[in-house]
Amino acid sequence: MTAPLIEVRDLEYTYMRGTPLETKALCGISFAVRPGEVVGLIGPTGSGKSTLLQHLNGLLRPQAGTVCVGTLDLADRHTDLRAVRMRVALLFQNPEDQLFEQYVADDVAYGPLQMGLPRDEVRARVRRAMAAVGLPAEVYGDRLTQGLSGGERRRAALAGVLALEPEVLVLDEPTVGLDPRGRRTLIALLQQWCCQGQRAIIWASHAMEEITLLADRIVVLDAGRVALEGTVRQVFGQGETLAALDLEVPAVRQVVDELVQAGLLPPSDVLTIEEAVPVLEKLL
Amino acid sequence: MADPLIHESANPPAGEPAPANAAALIRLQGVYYTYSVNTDQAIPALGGIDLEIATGEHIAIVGANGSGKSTLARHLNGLLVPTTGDVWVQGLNTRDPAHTRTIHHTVAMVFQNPDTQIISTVVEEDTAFGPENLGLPHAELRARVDWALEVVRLSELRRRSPHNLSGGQKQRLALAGALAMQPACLVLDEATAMLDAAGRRAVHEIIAQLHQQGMAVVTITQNMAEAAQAERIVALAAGQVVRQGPPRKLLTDEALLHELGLDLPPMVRLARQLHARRPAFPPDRLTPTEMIAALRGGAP
Repeated sequence: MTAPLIEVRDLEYTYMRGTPLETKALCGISFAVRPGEVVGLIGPTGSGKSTLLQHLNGLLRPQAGTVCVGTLDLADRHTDLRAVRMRVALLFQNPEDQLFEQYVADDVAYGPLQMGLPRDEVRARVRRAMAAVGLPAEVYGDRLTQGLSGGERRRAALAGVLALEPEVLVLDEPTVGLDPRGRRTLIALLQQWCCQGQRAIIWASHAMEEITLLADRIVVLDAGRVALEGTVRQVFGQGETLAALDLEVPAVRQVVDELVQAGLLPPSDVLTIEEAVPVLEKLL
Repeated sequence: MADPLIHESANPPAGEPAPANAAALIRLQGVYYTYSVNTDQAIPALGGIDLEIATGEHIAIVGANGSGKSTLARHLNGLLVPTTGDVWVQGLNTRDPAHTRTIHHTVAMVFQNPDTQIISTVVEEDTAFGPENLGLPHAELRARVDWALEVVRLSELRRRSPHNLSGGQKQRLALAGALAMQPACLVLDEATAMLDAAGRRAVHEIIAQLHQQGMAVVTITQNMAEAAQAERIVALAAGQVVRQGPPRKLLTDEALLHELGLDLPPMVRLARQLHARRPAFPPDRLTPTEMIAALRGGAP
């Protein structure tokens, strides 16, 4: 197996440690992300998803356990965080709220300029990143950020992190608030980005149908622990376990699961509508 | 139309009186709205909306990004005043500043991000914030806060700090603040978009209960499964109402949804494929529950 891009081992984190309000957020998390993978991260609110994501590019440092980005060990106080952030880029929820430059190209250039890259290199990266998200620099570079639509603003924010040319993209609910067309565009361009070279995506989401479309593997968090891990099919095959965690399986699986439970269908691992049609047709 | 001030001065400050037959809870007539950003180009967001919302009705407003959904929602309680046209809430024109307070109690809003709607450091104080400003007697205030927290199932957490609540709990707190105003209509602007499945389900159950008790509900959403729960769907595109009707009619109209930039609900897609193979199968099942019932009905 190829070496992981990120490896998390026995990670623990407690908020407000040593105070009466201390809250344990992560209680020994281990998982790895390899090149070419899209890993879906799911879990009920408060399960530790955001805390975990913030460890992956050094916004939080491990209190116990390790987080390694390639050979960079984030538990080591001497590790250069800028080197980490050039390899792992994090896109927060509603990232379009964080656009602040007047013109789109300036906003996309902000990150690479902060990294101290030469101007020509920054210009080339801005052009590549804007092309990748479908907002070509020639057309959109001089537009006002405030004048973009919601979907365009989201893509401009994504271009800002792609311009860092990271190996791993960490996304927190990237499709919330986008309409179906905006979602499809975003998912397609992330799929395309991921399959070029030694790259990976970590995608935290409540939208199970989208996870089904994009992810290779799912990690399920509950109360700061990895509750389940496996391929999309394996994890969504565990409907009862997920329901106990207050998580939903995709609607098609809900239908199939209930009919299996009622003894009307043999157990099956269908996930999509196309797979479900021939199975359900037998009931009619 | 570029400058709303011109039109406001062109209209009498009190606004047009409501038409005599205004039985509707909220009535919009010929509503145009234009945002004027700091540029010469004005962006028209609403282009002539006529709409009535009846007392106790549950409607869903659907449309793609930029279709004008949120702008429309902000007109329902006077947060925005039309550039031209009028909005009446229980017969009161939102253009008249003398009615602003009354309209704010009548139509309450809950927005997408729970973190931006919470003001106080204690749950029950946050819930009390709105009604406190109405100058209610203490006993009445207390009764309203108790009721609102009970409805959203946060009574046990009333002395907690909102910062220690989960995303779903925070959104229920925002909902409690709106309910404590005892509004006749609740407007939810993508209020479940950031919640997990359990949080969404909890909000849906609360909404269903309030609606049953006679509260009007306006849900702004891109989630077709959520829209399916309404009695009537209003479809917006480019700032105009392009179609209205019952969910089963609109949410199964593939051509319309495509034109709107929206998707068929997953269960409708599944039902149509089954219908194509077995014509006796109904092509318009909207929810997993309906789908399961239809499939079981077909079983021996």
